[in-house]
Amino acid sequence: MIRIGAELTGDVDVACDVCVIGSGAGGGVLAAGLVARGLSVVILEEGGHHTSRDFRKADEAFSFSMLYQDRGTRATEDLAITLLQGRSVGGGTTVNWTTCFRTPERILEHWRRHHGSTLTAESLRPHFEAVEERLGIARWDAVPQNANNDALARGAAALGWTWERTRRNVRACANSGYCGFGCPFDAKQGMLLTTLADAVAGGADLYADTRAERIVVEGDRVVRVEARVLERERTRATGVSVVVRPRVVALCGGAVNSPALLLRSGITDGPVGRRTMLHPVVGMSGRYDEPVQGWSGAPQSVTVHDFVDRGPDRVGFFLEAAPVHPMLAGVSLPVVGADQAEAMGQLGFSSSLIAICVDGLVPGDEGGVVTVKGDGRPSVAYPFRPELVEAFASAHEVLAAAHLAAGAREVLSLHPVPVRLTSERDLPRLREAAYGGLRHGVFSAHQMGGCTFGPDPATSVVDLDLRHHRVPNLFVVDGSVLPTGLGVNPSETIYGLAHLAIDAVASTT
Amino acid sequence: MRPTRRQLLLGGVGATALVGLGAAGLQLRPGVIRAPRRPLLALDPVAFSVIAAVADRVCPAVDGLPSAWELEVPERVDELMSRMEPGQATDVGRALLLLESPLVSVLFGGPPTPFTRLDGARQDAVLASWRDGRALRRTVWRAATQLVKGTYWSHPSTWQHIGYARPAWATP
Ligand SMILES: Cc1cc2nc3c(=O)[nH]c(=O)nc-3n(C[C@H](O)[C@H](O)[C@H](O)COP(=O)(O)OP(=O)(O)OC[C@H]3O[C@@H](n4cnc5c(N)ncnc54)[C@H](O)[C@@H]3O)c2cc1C
Ligand code: SF4
Repeated sequence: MIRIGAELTGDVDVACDVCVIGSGAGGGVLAAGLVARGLSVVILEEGGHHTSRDFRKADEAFSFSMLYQDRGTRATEDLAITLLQGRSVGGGTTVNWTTCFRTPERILEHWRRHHGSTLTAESLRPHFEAVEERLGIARWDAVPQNANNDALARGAAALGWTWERTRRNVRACANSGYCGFGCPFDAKQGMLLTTLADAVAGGADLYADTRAERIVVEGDRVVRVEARVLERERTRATGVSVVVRPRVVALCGGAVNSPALLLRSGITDGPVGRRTMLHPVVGMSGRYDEPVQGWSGAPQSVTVHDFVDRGPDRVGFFLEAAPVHPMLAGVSLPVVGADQAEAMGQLGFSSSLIAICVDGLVPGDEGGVVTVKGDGRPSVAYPFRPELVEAFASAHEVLAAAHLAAGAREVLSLHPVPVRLTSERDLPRLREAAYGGLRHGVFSAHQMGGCTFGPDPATSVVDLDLRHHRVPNLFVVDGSVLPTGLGVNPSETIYGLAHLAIDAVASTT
Repeated sequence: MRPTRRQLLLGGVGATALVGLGAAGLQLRPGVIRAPRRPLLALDPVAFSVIAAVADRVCPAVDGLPSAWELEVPERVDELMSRMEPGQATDVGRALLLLESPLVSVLFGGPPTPFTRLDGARQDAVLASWRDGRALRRTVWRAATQLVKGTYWSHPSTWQHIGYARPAWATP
């Protein structure tokens, strides 16, 4: 049963086999698997329960305010990186752009070599197959890519790069382009419609608008989770408390929030909050003669991976398109006044291509750090290492080249005073621009790490079964366990790991 | 004293001192207070007035677009802030206080005048200097401008300019 905050008028105190904190990619898959084993499961989700009825408003301000962390304003502490991160029943999977990849072999190998992992493509295969089946993950060629993605395909083809159609977790996608608002057509196979529906149908209780404030450990065991019900419209406690007394806790709050909850709870063993990876994103806008209307049509249907491995000492990046509706565009374009009005007037003729940088792989790259403020809010500090700054500069040249090869009449960077290019001859000008934090727009929709897995308690928070090193009935099952960026969009890796974790969690009850 | 953004934002001694300096500066030389058209929910009158002044400059009525004031952007920013964690609204209020304070302005080489008392051209110059200044000022510039821009462009009255429309299947 799903219980929403407005219906919770009296304090709740429940016992169960497993308390799952967070209902996103990790929490959804895990909860469904546990319920299928006959276990009693309570899911706590701090965001609200919204459905396609709400998403049909097609209201960007509503969606960001209701479905994203910090009402859509989450950022690193210095505001250098905008962090898009989900916060509702279904977590990031309710608003994500549906691009799916299995974890690349290169990354699995890196983890085996540097992070003590034993994961292989073969050991993960049955888990990926299971989630692909349930979530309808398949290569998506139902209709041609939209003009925004086609710019990437054309540019890549002209430059001799390899481009591919993406795999997506959709069924009967209406190609609307509103994935980031929540799917209005129930086509996106996020957790809301799939695993959470399965879990609730199987008897799980899901408390929406309910934030876990503290995981209470006595001795070396979690004895309860203390949660507070929040007003949905305003992020304030209603005064109603929910206490869950489980045999096992699975923390699935996602990167940033999961390490923050451990820190708030005093479970500070190991490098909690460290190795927070963001897959930092830079973008360039290309203006075309023909309409692009990048807000219409499946957001990401083309991907280019030619630059993802630029050698062991350089940060790689991969290329995709970004669907920019007006609000996100307005925030992303750093210009103001008349320049902004001009740029927004061109939005319908602009393609937004992005380069997603793969952090955590070059030697010494420890990513960012999550801490908690006095009032318990998480804070993310993320340094801009020279290798990342170099990747930003290179990525700008690559993105500009792609736009120009695709026929853009003008290409603009996201600097406050944009670098403008009209031909390949202008490309060297990009080298003269400044790159790094607060120099131009930087975004992240892929937060990872902060509770990394590994065999050594000194360098990881959970073991290879995703069990906390010191507290055996506490697991972390979400993107926060990933020790590096992935070089692909992360959701399927998280689904797969959560599916893999079902056995270990179930056998601990 | 050249405070770093870390000191400001992580609530260090430097932050307290700088915010204290900002507040003191405003006592000596208060800014212009703009009257909101509905009761404020999260911002204080000073922060509201700074947001309103920033919005005038960042989203002016050009190219047939409505002004931010016409679209009640300052009130809508206040409403958005009221939905956030209380601490987040406090952080934003601090950032706006710094932008407004004449003492902080002087500290950073700007005019000894509250931001809201400057004419439009000088406000533009101050905003540009914060945008291009050292990290702390860029952070404040982002805090002030991004809230305004997001709120402005999410308003349907701006969409004709973009060629954007609510899809036919959308329900109110
Ligand atoms: C706009 C956007 C587009 C994206 N596009 C793609 C894409 O195309 N492909 C892809 O692979 N990935 C994409 N991602 C990323 C992907 O969705 C995430 O990596 C993934 O959802 C993370 O899974 P998770 O389980 O770690 O956390 P989440 O899915 O974020 O779930 C965590 C949940 O826990 C809740 N929570 C946190 N703390 C608490 C607490 N204390 N108490 C109760 N509940 C709590 C949160 O509210 C949230 O709902 C996108 C993300 C965004 C925001
Ligand atoms: S593009 Fe497809 S999956 Fe995305 S919102 Fe539209 S119908 Fe849903």
